[in-house]
Amino acid sequence: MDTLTIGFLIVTVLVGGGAFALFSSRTGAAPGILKTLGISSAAGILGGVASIFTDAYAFITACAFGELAFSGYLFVIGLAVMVGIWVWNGIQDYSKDRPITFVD
Amino acid sequence: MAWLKNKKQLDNILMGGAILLLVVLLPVGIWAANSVNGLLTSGYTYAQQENTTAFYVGPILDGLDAEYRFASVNGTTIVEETPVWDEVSEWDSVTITHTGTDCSMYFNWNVTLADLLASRDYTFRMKFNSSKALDVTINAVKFDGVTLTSVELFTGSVENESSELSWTWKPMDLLEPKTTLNKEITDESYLQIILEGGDTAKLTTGDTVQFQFALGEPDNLYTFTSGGILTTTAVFGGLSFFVLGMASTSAWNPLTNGPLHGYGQKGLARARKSYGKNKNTRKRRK
Repeated sequence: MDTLTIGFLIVTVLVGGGAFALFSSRTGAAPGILKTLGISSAAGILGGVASIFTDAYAFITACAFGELAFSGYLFVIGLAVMVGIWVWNGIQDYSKDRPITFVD
Repeated sequence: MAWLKNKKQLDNILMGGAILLLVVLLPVGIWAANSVNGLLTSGYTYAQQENTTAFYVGPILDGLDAEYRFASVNGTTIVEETPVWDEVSEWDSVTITHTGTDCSMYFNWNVTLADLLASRDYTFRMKFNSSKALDVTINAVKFDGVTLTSVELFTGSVENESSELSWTWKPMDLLEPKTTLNKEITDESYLQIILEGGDTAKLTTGDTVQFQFALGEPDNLYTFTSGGILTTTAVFGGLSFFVLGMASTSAWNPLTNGPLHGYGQKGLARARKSYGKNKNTRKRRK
């Protein structure tokens, strides 16, 4: 199989898995992680596509490489803080055996 | 907010908003910021680039470190060319002396991507009056003393008569290739304008190209530098993410226990209590 077909299959599996996880697990601790994975997968794919078409990915890369100096680092640190807190919240929820949320 | 039933519902709203921010608002915000110069532009005031100081003495091709301002190239054979500057008509011209049958004209332009990012110029206007149709390419170039690396910025073509061509950029059109080139302090950097014969009519000995190059600044009051637009976006974006990150914590969640609603202490007390409980549990486990 060529790279494009493999990529297409991976995206299909991710979106399908994400959608299944999203709609099949509304409550409970164990399905909570599936729900989170579902939301994350769908959001990640949508956000990834949107980022490519709007230069957001290039902007984040440029910031991380120091092209915008202090302002760029501030952007990346702010983003990392937000995502870091979400991940931390997720880990806390998982360790306490409750549905995973990004916001505590 | 009577329609809200419990904390879980509030949290879900905040979570949905946060995800929406990442998925939609982040790309859309950057797209909007990137479009600022296009949205504000009405007409341009042009600054002519019409003497030798506007052009840089540097290598033309990778692997060949002889340096030129202007040269005609056939394969790897390079011949220096000498333009004639006409301050009155503003039509400068260069006649190809290279004996090759398929020549390209190279202009090393004394401008860097960093210069354009720091300037209020949003466009580069090129006027040509040539005996043959031309394909025009603009590259950003980095020379580290050994290797010449280039990134394509613009391509266009003009007819074999008096024609005009403009390269109008958005801030990210400059920042992205700048990141790709990743210039070190000691590297040389400049832009390169390359002219080739369009269609089947190739440039050769005796062909004359008249040209006018000019940088254009929008003639309105609301002109920002391209770099300024990007740094402002980065500062506001970074602070917004930081605030939203804080809002995702139990102590500062503004929809539930956050200080904006006067429940900050309550949230902190709850967090401390939760921490204490966990600590006791850990002790018991030991």
